[in-house]
Amino acid sequence: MRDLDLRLSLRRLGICWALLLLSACGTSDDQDESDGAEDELVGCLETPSTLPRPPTGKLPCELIPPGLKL
Amino acid sequence: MKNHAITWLGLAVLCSPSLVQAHVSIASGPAVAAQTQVVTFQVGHGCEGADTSGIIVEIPEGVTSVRPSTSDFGQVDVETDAAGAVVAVHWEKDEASILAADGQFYQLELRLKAPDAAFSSLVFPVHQTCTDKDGNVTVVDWVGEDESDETVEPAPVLHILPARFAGWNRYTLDSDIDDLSTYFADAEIVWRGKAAYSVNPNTLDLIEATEGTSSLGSLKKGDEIWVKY
Repeated sequence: MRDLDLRLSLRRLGICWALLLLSACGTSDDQDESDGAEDELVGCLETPSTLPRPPTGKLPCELIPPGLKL
Repeated sequence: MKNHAITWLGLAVLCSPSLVQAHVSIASGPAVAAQTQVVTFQVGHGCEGADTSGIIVEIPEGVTSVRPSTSDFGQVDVETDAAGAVVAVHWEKDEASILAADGQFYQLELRLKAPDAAFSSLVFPVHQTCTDKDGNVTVVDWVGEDESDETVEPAPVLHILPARFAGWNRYTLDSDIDDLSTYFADAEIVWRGKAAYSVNPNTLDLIEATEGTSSLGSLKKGDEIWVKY
C-alpha cells in the first residue's frame, strides 16, 4: 500500500516537473515575441510609457523660453 | 437658374486678372538682414498662352551688391543710377529662343545684400513681357503693393529676418508686426512675456491648454521676444 502511495506521489511529482518545464518553454516563446515587437519602429505617441516624459497636453519645457516661469 | 449662377461665378473667377496670369514671386523664401544671399524669382506662366520673352526686376532702395546670373533668358543687363548702384535688372530672350506657346516655368536669380532691417518687407516691382507666335507683345506689370487691391497685379515681396541660431533667439522689434505668420512661419514658437504664438496648430492648442499662457496675436515696436527655431 505504501509502495503504491509512493509510486503515485512520484508520478504526480513527474507530472508537475513536466508542466513546469512546458510552462517555462511557453514563457520563453512569449519573451521572443515581445522582443520582436520592441524592434518595430513606431511613433513616440504609440508608446507613451517608454517616453521619459509622457504627453501632458501642455507645452513641453523645450518650448518655454529661458527665464520664464508659468 | 442655380447652374447659370455657378457658371457665371466660375467665369468671373477664371477671368480675374490675378488668375489668368500666375504670380511672379520670390521662391527662395525670406532673406537675412545685412547679409549677401541669392534671391530667386519664379515666373509661373506667360501671358494667356504666350511665352515670357523678358523680365525686368526693379531693385528697391536699401538693396545693395546686386549681381544677376544668366538664365534660360540668356544674357542679362543691369540698369544703374548716377552713383553706379543697380536699380533694375533686365532678362530678355533673343527672338529665336521665344517659344511658340506658354509651356515653361522660369527661375531667375539675383545675388544681393539685404538692408539691415529685420522684420521688414521689400517690394520688387516686376515687368513681364510676353511674345506670342505671331510676334504680338503683351506687358504685365506686377507692381501692386497691397495684396487686397485686385486692380493691379501684386509685386513680389521679400521678407527680411534677423540672423538666427538653431534654438532660442532673443530680438527687440524695430517696427509693429500685425501678421505673425509673415515672419515666423518657420519658427517653432514665439514668446512675448507669457503670450505665445506658433504657426503649428498643434502647438497653438498646447499654448491654449497651458495655464498661465495666452495666445500672441501681434507685436509692437520695442517688444522683446524669444523665438525658437
